[in-house]
Amino acid sequence: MTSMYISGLGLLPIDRHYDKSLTQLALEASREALDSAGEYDIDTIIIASNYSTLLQRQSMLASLVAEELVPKGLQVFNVENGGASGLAAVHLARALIKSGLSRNVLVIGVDKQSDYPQSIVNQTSLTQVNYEYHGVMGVSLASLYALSASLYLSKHQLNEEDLALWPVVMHENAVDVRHAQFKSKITVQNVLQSDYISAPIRVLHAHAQADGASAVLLSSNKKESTIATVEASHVVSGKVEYELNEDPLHIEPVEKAVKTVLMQASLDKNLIGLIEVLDMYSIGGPLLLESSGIIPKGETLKRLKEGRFKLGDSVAINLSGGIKGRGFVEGATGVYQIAETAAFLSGYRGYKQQSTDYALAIGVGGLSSVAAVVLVKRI
Amino acid sequence: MTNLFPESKTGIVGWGGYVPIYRIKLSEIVKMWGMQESLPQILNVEEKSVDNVDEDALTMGFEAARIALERARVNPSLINAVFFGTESKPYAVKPSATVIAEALGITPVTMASDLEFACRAASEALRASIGLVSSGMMKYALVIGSDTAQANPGDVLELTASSGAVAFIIGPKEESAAYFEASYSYVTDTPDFWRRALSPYPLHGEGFTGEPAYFAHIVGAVKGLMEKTGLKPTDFDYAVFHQPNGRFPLKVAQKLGIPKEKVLPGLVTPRIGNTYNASALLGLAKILDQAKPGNRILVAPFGSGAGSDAYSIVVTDLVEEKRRNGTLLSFFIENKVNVSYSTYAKNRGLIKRIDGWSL
Amino acid sequence: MAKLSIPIFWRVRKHLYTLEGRKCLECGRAHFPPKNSCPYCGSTKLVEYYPPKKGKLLVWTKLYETCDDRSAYRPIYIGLLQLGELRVVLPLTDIHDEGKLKPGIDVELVLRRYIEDGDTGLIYYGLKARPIF
Ligand SMILES: [Zn+2]
Repeated sequence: MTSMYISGLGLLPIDRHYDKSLTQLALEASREALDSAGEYDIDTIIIASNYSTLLQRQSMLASLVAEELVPKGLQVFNVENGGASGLAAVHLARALIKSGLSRNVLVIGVDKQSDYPQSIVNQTSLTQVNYEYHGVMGVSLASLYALSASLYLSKHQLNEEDLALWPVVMHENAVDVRHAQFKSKITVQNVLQSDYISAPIRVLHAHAQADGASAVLLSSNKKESTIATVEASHVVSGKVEYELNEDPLHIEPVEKAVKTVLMQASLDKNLIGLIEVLDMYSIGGPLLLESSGIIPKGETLKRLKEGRFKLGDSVAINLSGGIKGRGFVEGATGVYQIAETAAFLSGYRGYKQQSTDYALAIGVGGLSSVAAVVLVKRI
Repeated sequence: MTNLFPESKTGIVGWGGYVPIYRIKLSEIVKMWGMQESLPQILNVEEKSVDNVDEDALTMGFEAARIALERARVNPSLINAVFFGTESKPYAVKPSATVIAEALGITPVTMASDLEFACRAASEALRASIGLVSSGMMKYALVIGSDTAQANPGDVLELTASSGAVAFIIGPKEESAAYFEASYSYVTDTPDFWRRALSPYPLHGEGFTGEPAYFAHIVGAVKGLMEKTGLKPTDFDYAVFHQPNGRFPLKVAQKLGIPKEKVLPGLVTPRIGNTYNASALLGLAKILDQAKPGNRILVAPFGSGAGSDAYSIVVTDLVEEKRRNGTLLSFFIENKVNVSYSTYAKNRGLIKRIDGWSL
Repeated sequence: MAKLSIPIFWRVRKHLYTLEGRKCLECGRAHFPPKNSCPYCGSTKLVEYYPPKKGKLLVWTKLYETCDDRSAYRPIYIGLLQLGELRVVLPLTDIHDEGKLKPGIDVELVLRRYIEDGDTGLIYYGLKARPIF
């Protein structure tokens, strides 16, 4: 049922790029992806960005990038689906390619927070709850993940130390990831000594302000430069309002999206050897993995403690370093996730390699508003 | 005395008092500003209530009104007037009464307005409501007195200006926990206390707030009421006067020949400070929380500028049942947390800040 | 300068003042914020549901990461509550003894300020939950 080919990757270092504009970042990631792909005639640009309109006050970003990249004109789209934007953009690219409307799609993820102080960045997260109700109350995304973290820890009789292991492992994973925001190790002690941002979530559970852009070239035909293939993808909506979830610890759209993707590919979940999961505030990792059905409820942190999920394990998780190590670039994160799975499956340009055939990228918007899942296969 | 006056068709069908949880000791303020250490004792006020940072006169008024509604057990849509007496309106222009009316389900068929007469606006609203209900124009009216009283930091006024709210639902005598026998107003142009339009804090005439203002007007109103009704000080079981401090109410009682034992049960200021529009009326709420059927209560609020109203109120058999249907004022008076001057300053908005970043 | 939209919050003011939600006549479940169709079964046969003013705290957190507009309210306590048939996320207020803030304690709804639109814009009011210690 193949497929869609990943034939070019752009992974800009995640950092505070004070000297570069949103458009510049998008263009740099695009040129890196296109250069690695060789000469291709792209006919479609899809940009995933959450806050270009809110922070940089720029809409129609894809047109702005296209102006410089493909001046003759092409199909352009802008996608916003919260933290799932990038993966949703990949899903749309696949739909365009499957339908025959597009042959070479450049998917770009870009966001930039350093144009504003932290208080404004905090304010943007209020757009990821139901703004009319929880937005005016000041109930931000961090606080909802914190409620879930409390519920999760008490339900599975775990403590803050267990949760602190997640960012520690993520930082370890990011050490050799060249585009990662933080390549230094931290300890459980460091995590537990960091301030709360919303108890039990601490500063070292959370992403730092970041700018970045990632791009992937997706094609209908295999190229010389092809790195991996996209075998299946899906996007499922859930509940924006925390209290409407039947079980706040079960992210239903993640379960549905993963199930559909595995069905599309007729794949046994045990054949997945690599997962890049959107691990918001650390607790997002266990929540999404356990909602996906791939890891049993309450087992993620226990297995992490046993030393599992590292490079070479039967399933490696977030070799990128996740939102903590690699960094979280809002709408761009999903594109990074796809580029990373392709890189880690193939050992692309010096990236570490996990020996497996299948990788899954799992993302959510908000906490449970929307899930997007993409299955990537080694070539 | 027979039911000669129109007031006697009406009464209090529900009442509620609210005091925020925080308190600051007067000794803390005295220390902060280098005032005379004996002032709290002279004023007979130990500590005063402080609103939380997310509270204001409107939110406190809502809380008192909701308790009154729980006691009244009337359909909110039958309330056709909402009067909000305050001198600390959250908005200079924009009624608070409409927000409270909306939140309680009273809108849209209702009168609603904010009234201002220093500490006496809510009492004016009470008399107006008695008129509206006794005339048959409406069955129920809601009267709220609420203030987060301002005072220039370091001024002696800061020792007493506090926060609290009270609410009454006025309705037919037959449904009332206490009915009005008679009422009497006494108003003159006496500039004892004022706040100019854009000034954040009021000024006052110190000693001038006493004799020509507080005492002259309360005595004028109470004597007027007694002349009008033929009632004597001995006819009353309780007496409640405006309570700018813990001393004035006892002194005015003495002038009127009322023993302090009848005043002390309704004296709340020593524990919570002067809640301005809620001051005397919170005292009334406290009496309703403890009075027996048949008791007669004298109530005389006062507002600078200046004026006083005197009411004779008789408790009915319904008082006990209604009392059980709402939170007692003593709960809010006892349930307290003491805070430092810095917390008080933050909550009261005394710390000057500028707008930060905002999208 | 005022920055918030007036109509956005005016439209939902009653829901913020009363937590008026909806109850489904098909599956019997109540929800908040109110939707035009049931989030559980999709039915459009819904009636208004007003929760009781008292309920239980299920879980809570203390949020430090806020925007400048709310820095006077920081930290913001936030709870998931069960109010009658409704489950709602609301800010908590009048917290002075965190040690007593435990899942299962009683809370009651109070009207408070959610946010002020600068020094000159509107004040937005709505319900918060106060623990009954
Ligand atoms: Zn239903």
